[in-house]
Amino acid sequence: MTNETSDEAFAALTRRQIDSAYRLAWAILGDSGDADDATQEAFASAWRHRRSLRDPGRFDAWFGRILVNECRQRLRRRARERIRPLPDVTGAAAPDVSQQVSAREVVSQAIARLDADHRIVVILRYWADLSVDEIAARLGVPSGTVKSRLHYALRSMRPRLEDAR
Amino acid sequence: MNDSDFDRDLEADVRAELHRSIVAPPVPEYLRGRIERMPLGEKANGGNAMTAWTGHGLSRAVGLAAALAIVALLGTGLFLRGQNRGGVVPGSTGASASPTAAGSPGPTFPPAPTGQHQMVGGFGWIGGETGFIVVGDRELHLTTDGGITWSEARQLPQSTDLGLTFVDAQHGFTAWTSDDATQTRIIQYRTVDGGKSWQSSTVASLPIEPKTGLVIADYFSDASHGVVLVSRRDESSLGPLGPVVSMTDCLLYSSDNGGVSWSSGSAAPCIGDVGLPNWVSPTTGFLMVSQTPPTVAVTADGGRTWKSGILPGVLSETNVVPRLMIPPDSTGRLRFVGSYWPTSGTWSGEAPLVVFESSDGGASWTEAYRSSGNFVSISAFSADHWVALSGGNTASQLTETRDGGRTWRRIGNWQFSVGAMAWSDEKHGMLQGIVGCPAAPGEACSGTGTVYVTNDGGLTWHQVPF
Repeated sequence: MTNETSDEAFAALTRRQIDSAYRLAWAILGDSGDADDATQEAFASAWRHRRSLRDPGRFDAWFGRILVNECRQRLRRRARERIRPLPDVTGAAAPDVSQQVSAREVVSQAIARLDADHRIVVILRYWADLSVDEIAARLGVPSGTVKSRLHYALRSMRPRLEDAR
Repeated sequence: MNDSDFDRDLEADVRAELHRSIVAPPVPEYLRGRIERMPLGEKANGGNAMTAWTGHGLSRAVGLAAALAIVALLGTGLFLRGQNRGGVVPGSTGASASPTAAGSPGPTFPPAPTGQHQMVGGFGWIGGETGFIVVGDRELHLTTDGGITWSEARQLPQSTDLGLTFVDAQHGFTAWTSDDATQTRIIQYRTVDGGKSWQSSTVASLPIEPKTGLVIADYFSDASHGVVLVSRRDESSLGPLGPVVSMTDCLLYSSDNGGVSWSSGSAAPCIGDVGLPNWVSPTTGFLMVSQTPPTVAVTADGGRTWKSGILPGVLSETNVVPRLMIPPDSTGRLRFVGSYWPTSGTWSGEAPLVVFESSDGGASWTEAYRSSGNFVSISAFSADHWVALSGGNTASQLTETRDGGRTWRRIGNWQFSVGAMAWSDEKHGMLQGIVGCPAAPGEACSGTGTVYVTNDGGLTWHQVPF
């Protein structure tokens, strides 16, 4: 197979990922501008490093790792620049004074206070519903590290959530 | 509300609120256009090129993600233990499928018998025909007939994220933590009735310190003898790229009465940052404790004592991904199998297997030989007879070696991705198929899917009814 053929196949694979990549970047970063930039940079980076992908069957995990790493770098950069909360949610545009909104705000605020590594594992585990093993593959860390980050994140969120009960 | 209830509610709250609150907007058209106009889009030609590439690529190297998945799979706490207790006629529960000879098309992944795929939190063999599956985070099902029939759902006291160990069909163990204002309490849960009821004991209470978290791993070698390893993950130091992680306060607690009471903490290898313990027999386990230099800790007494040794000849900027340990043979020779994973530069796609040997219980190692093969999981039936899983998001292969990894033979193809596998012996195996991720259509989730069991060494596979 020629490189040109594999480039075409690579392009087909990447087009399939645009929507899911943007959704995940938005979930992690909580900001449309940052999500735009991270998604675009992740695709550009994937293209630059496409020769390192040896098995297209593993494209999703390979590209997922590039994307999450890009988001992580932006979160870390952001942490040095300013504090920004998680997206203050979509869906119901009208203010909701129910208990559910209160719980939602508490969860969002608790997650917003996590650092980049802990925030990412929480989003991947509880929003993207990835398993610990899958998260480990995307982050390039042992699953034990994912577990400890999840444990730490939940523990640090717990007092805030407990107060809200 | 007790701690267990709160932990359960906490995870449920976080999951529910994230799903409710994070609803990402559609991709802006300008962004889609920008990406599609990148160089990668200009030559795009859709399905034909995709087909050609996929067909070619699947016979080649597995890829970086697969190498990473090896690390993940080794941390699942699923153990190859016990011996075959006799043949079992394959059951009729659920759908069945057979891996096919190399090169021919295999079966596609059928829907779950229940019509709806569920999150599988973990699975494994306890010994012979006894095994377990955790559906979701806490719904435990046991089998004592090789997966033909399964028990009713039994509720775990907390999530299996920190591991679950059964030493037989009755005795199971899992650890968790609970915080008060100043201390973290490490709690060991135990069951003596196959998970129908659980009792707990406090292993230790450790002070809460800012910017730290505890990493915990528990293990029981039999119904009486167990250990809990604890390390503190410290992120209080800040480096130029963010928190600098170090593991401190690495302690070991032991019990001789089935977890009713525990010793005070003693010094132990640190767990968590590089790896967690993996068990290859009731008493033999190993743990990667460092990558710089690559160092393996080995226990031969169920985790009470550990010996650490450096793996020689590993180049810098190369990680050793642990895959397997072969317990000592009659001459006392211990073998550790890892693969090399470059951490920088462009990866060639090859991840050579490296076999190290030790004649002093793991205090020192020498490289024995190297072999090729990119696998996501390896299980050993004997010193030289291993079975390995490889593949990608659309297909998987099962291969075996009978000469300790020097040569490999493909014994099965699957037309779907397999996320993990576990074997009790040469007859009894379980594997987990990967299906679509409910939260992100088009993506794959390894935690979501159904599980197949085999009772005839992989000739036929039967879908479990979850």
